[in-house]
Amino acid sequence: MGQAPSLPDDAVADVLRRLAPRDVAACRRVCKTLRRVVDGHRLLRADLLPLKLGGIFLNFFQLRSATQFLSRPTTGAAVSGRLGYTLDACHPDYDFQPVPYVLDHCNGLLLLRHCVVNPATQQWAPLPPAPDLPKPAPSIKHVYKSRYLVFDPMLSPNHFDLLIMPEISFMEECEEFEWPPSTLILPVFSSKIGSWEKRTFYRDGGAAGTVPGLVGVRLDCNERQSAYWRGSLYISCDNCFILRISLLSDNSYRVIRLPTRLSLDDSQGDQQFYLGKSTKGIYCASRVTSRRSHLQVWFLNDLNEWVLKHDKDIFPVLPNLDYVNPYGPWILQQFDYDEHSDEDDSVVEDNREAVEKEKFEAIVKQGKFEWDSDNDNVLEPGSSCGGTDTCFLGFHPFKDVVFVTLWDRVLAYHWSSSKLQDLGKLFPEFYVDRHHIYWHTQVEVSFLYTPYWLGELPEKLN
Amino acid sequence: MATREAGKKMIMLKSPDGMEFEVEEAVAMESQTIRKMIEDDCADTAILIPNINSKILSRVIEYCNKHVPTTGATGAAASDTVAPAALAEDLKIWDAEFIKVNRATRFDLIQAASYLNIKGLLDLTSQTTIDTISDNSLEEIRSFLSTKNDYLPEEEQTIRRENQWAFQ
Repeated sequence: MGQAPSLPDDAVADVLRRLAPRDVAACRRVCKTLRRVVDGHRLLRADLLPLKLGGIFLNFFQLRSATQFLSRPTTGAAVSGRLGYTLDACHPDYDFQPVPYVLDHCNGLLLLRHCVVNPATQQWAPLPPAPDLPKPAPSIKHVYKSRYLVFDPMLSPNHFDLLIMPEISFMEECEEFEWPPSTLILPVFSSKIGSWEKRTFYRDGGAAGTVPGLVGVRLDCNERQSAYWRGSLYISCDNCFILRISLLSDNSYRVIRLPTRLSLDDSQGDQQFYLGKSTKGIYCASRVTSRRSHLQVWFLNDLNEWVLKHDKDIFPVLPNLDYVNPYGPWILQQFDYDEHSDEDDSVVEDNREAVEKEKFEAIVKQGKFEWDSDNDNVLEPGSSCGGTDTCFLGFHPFKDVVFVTLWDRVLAYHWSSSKLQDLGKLFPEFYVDRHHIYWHTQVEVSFLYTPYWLGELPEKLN
Repeated sequence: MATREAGKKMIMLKSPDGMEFEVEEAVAMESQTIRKMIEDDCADTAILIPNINSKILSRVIEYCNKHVPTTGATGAAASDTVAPAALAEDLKIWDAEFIKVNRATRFDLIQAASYLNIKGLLDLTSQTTIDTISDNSLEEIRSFLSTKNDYLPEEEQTIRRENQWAFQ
């Protein structure tokens, strides 16, 4: 190592060990000596970083007591979606009963109302109650608060941030004002500091519009959507524009309009869209309501412009679900923490046993443990008898794939090759049993989970 | 040659250039490497510390003396009357002074801290290097480490591809 040729590899490794994964990767490019040290000491464990899709966490309509987890049995054996262990020690200042219900996901960490948890390592950090949010205008009475989790283990392996964003969800009589304002003051929780603080973000570019007029152009979509990419958090706000908040560099933020064809058009009614992170950055998928199987995929380029990548009616490739094997290659871990039940634990245990059995049967039926995520379980096009009502679950973070639901199945749609693949069943049995009417069973929010096996969450936060 | 002095167990450390340092066992055990030797009963006679000359070893001992958590006589920091926060602040200032050395000495200290496995000293000595690597371009890192890019263009491409996620 240059002027200090005597510095042995072990000592160099001890220094490099203190670097974030992104910087260790940069060191491999510096010179052969450093690469030898990094590789020889296994300082860069890309296999433990959130660079693979592990499964999908699912929240269902009218099921606010537990989040379900759909994954390959191999991931399911290593990662449990059961989050009950976090409920034991909730912050004493809370006046509510914590529930294992996921509010957000970012790079392997899950946000619950009372804590942040890593389901892979089963480490969790309790959160102190959030401060009150300043109202955007005195005349606004109701402000919906959404919490977002920001975690970038490539830069900071042990620390996360939380952010609360106000949304004006109910429209009342009020004076007209610009939204979002030129300076946005948001409560931010940083695990490094261990407490909430108010951080000011300055708007770069124009506002989205003015309230109350703005709220009239809301689109129907999943309750909350956000994505993290290159130091910025992208939030779909009030369902009518996207906010890009730069957290790393300059505390600025920018309003990004939805793709033009997505803007409100009465003839299209409740157009659905989904914001997410995929192979090259931020994407948006939309479904034209008039033809419920028509999908569009948009990509946000460096100039903050949407580029149409895919535009197709997938009706011809929809399968006939009658012939689909009930045991898909992905298995649903079902968790029922029924609040009316006195036997929570036994219910959960029974469920786990059932899941284990199902996992086993699924593997045996398939006759193999390996699964080709590109070519196995590809569905033959057939007359779809389950209807054509597809619903977005999210983007595959590392492939040109969107996950959709069709009837009671979860499918992967490879949009670059127009191929549909069956993953597994969508609804837990107890949920279907409780909601006899089909249209009451639906996904509210879903999170594409990428397991992270490193890092130490701070045990106690004030 | 472990001896006793004023009720404290002493340990003899020897540098390769023949110097001997008698230190309290608690101070020597700031080094996880020496702690292991003592716990495994390998410290009956003087412990030879290879590759660390007397100049560096004396500085390492100075560091350990300052950082050993004790209520005994060693170190001005050890006092029941001083608040922990003030103590930490005092240590921070002391550390900042301690690390004001030239680069060659700092690299020697890194090597010593690495071999002796003293986490605090390693954190302190490697900080500048970490800062340089974290915030700067590859060329700046190379110039700081006085090293050259010895990759062929195609090798560079391969390495870039291997960790594509880091360079997006």
